[in-house]
Amino acid sequence: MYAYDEFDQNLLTRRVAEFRQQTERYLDGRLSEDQFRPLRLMNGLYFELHAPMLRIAIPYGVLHADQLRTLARIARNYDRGFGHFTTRQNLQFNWPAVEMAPDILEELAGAQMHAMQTSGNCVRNITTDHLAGIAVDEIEDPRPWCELIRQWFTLHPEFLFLPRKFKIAVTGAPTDRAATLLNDIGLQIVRGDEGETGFRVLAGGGLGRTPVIGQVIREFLPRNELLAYLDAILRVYNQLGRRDNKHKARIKILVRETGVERFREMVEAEWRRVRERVPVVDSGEFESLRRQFALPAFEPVVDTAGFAARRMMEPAFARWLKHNTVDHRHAGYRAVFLSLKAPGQAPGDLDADRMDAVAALAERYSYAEIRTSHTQNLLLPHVRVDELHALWNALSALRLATPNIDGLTDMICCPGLDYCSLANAHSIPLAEEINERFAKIDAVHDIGELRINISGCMNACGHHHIGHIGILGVDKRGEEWYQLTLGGSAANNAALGERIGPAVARDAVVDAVDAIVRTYLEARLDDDEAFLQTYRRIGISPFKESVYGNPTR
Amino acid sequence: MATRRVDTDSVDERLVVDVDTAVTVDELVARAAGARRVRIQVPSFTDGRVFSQVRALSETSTFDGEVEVHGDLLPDQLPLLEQYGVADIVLENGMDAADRPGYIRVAYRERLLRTMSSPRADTESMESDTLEKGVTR
Repeated sequence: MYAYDEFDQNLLTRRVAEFRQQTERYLDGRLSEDQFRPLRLMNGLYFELHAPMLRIAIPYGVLHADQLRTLARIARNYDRGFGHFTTRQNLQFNWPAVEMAPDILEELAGAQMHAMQTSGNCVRNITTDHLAGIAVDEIEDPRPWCELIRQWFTLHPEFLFLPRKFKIAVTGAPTDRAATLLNDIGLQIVRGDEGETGFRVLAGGGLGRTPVIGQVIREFLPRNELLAYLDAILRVYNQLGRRDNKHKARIKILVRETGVERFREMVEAEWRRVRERVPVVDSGEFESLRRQFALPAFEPVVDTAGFAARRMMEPAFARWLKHNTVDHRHAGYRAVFLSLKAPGQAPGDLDADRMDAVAALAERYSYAEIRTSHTQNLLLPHVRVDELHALWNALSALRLATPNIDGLTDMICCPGLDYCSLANAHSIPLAEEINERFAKIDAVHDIGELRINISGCMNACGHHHIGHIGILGVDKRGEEWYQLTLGGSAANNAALGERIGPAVARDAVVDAVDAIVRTYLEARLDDDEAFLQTYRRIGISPFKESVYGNPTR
Repeated sequence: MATRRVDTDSVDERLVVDVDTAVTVDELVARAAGARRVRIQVPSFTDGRVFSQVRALSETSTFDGEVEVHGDLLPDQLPLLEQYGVADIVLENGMDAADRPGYIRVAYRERLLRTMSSPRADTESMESDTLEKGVTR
């Protein structure tokens, strides 16, 4: 894992001191609310509906056990004893006091963590594949590149006051688990003609009010040109991105309004200029960065017989194995998902006691490493197969073993009207109702991969556009209604969901989802045909009829 | 915004270029050629275009005069402008420049520019088709 040296630590200490000074100026009136806003956002501090919210960076979703313990301590001492994992692999505290924010940042700095650029109109946390470094299909580990990009854009003086926020995602595997088609810049590590690795560069993707799928602006970028090329894109965007309307300020609107061909020409022209200033990424220097992400020295695993027998004899264990663990690059190991979507729990929330418990399990079973996923779950990335059963027992006791990863009850959900000042509608209580209704049905029918995403408003923090079933809260004459979409996806064949019909009332949403699921179960060819495949095969009409009834002819 | 003649009697009249942040970098660099001073007016501290403008002025070979930035700026933004060699910064919003925190002297970018400093083999002949295939160094 990446470990800070003196330079990193010193920078962070100074950054905390700077923010402490800025907070003091806000509290004593030298900075107005408006003037403080960009400064606090760049340090992760929001002012929300009921209280401030502090978003802490988990760079590319990698956490050490000690860091998770630090988060637990902060949750206890400064918040209400829990934290919320986000779709950008970060963690949010929903109840800190403004005056305490600098102290929290100081405690984080002690654990090599920060909240820099987790909000504001700047380059945000770089996200990646939660299986980075261990995925069976991976071309190259994307994390060293993510770290290089993080460093380059941390306090980059040119790009701290962009037209709008800027999100970059990197995948090192052909199977895109990082939603690179739906970020401001998506980077896909690919092989060139001579087997060397480089990047396919996409731009202009994003969700929010105007969802757009990103377009390729360069099929192959030599790896050493990465920083220069990213700088070029940011320079074009910083100059020409719209600043007259915040809803039209993302790079996706610029790409759409200029046209991708013209946008590409501008970037390439800017790149030629930038190249005179920004050096190529030095292979030797990069290699020393890359070494920091070396995988643990895995042991040969011998006792797999006991594991196989247990899988045969214990159906509940087998079911968990099937849904909540995935293949690991190294034979004898698996990556284990910890579901933060147990019934009755707000999706993505984890209390301090269980953070400590997970940290201890990570030390015992996974080389002290924890990952966060886009789907608001955690992973222990390197678990020996002969220790899976013991881990399963421990996770079950912590209610972190609900076998629902990528399933119907593994919902992605924004904080909604319970916390957010922008929301039209609640999302967490709705997720709970859906979970209650379907937990048993799923166990009987094995519904398989079916992603439900819930957003409380059109800003789309719950990414409803890419849910296989998307649910969007809308305000209808002061009442909470919900608009359903079908067929969205953030994977390689990314698609935006299609509206199924008029919005439905709050008390009809769960029935509508029920009707959609039953239509799928009746129509699927076999248990292996997932919801999205069935939907793409039979189209939206049968689902529409199941929700709204047969139209009168 | 058109170039504003500051003082028609001044001998430096031709040599002072006044712009705001709406001027594109290309146009700004063209106008700044040979000028003694470029003055950029910033309408709002949220308008980050000024940072790309001053960066471009610091990089072009056709302008070696001084850059002045004035307008609605936060003291906290001064270090950012100074990194691009801005000589004079005037806060026109009543804020006190002495409030700048100024704790951070060097961020990652400076270090990376220093450490990742492999010279480019092909800077002089940057043909796009050689780039398509990858840069050999």
